[in-house]
Amino acid sequence: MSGIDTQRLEALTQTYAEFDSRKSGLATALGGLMALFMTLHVISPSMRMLTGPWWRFQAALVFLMPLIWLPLKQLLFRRLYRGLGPVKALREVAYEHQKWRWIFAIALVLMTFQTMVLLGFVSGYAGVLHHPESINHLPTKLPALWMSWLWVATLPWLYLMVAPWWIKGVEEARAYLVLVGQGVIWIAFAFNQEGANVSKLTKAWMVPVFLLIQLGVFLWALRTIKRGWLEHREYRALLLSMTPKEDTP
Amino acid sequence: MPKNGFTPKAILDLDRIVHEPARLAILTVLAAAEEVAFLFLQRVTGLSKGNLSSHTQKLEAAGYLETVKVFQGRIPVTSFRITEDGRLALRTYHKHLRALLPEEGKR
Repeated sequence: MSGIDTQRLEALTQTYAEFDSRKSGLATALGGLMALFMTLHVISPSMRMLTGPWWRFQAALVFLMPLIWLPLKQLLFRRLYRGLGPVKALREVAYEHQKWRWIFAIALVLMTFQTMVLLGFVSGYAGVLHHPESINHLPTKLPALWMSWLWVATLPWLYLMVAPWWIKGVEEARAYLVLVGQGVIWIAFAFNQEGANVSKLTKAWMVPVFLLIQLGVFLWALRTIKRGWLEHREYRALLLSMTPKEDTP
Repeated sequence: MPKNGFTPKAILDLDRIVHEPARLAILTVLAAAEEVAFLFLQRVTGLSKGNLSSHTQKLEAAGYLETVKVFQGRIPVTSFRITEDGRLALRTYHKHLRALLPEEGKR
């Protein structure tokens, strides 16, 4: 007989290729950690008490978190998991479908949220601009309004635009979706204007929905951190099981 | 003729390109993935760089694998991919080997 454990070789290759295609491990765990931070940050009462440039910095940090995560996870992946080069898994139709379903879900969620955010934003300003007595009574800070509009309208597209180039695995898509969701939800709530015409009914369902989403994200983040860490350990064990040999002439 | 088909002719019919342990290991790994990087192949098979290069050249000459060279940034990465002929050769080799095994030794 050949003396080669072909089953072990097959299993090792498939496990490695699967890991390589998911692009998970510590990179996704970092996504979970950032989502956890965003959740705690967003629901923290101290966030609402901040004013001025510090508030703007904090808000920008929340909005930009998904875009900060992308290069960070890439860096982590390159440092930790590209030691042995890429191994492409055998193409499985089911996996490809699953992957693209997630990408599609990101696009769909972003479109929906963008519409909701725009509607909320308009209604917020509609409350402030409610029935001006004359053209002279319109707020003088109209350019600021346009800047905010631009910000709200552009950011979701920016999130969406970078996704095809940076998101490769299913786990990555999931983490990105959560981070982007958090960012966009925050846009909706951060621009909530005092004096806006929000009905009591809307207020009654908005708060529980918001808290429910935050609870979901919180649980997802904990699970992802644990899963990412376990996968990282599994990967290290896989590498250790492949003992390198010295080059012989 | 022996019951299990164990004849000198049957042994001689085994594909010698595939039968060599290092090449069998290489083909087994390649058959389990779409494309495999040189470094991974080296680590998983436990072969030295020189040995691996020599065996992959032989397999490529036999038409059982193809070499893919890509650049990741400025770093060239060499990968291998099993061909349809390679897959068929591996399947046929396993089939022949199973036929040669005594009944109790078959999986």
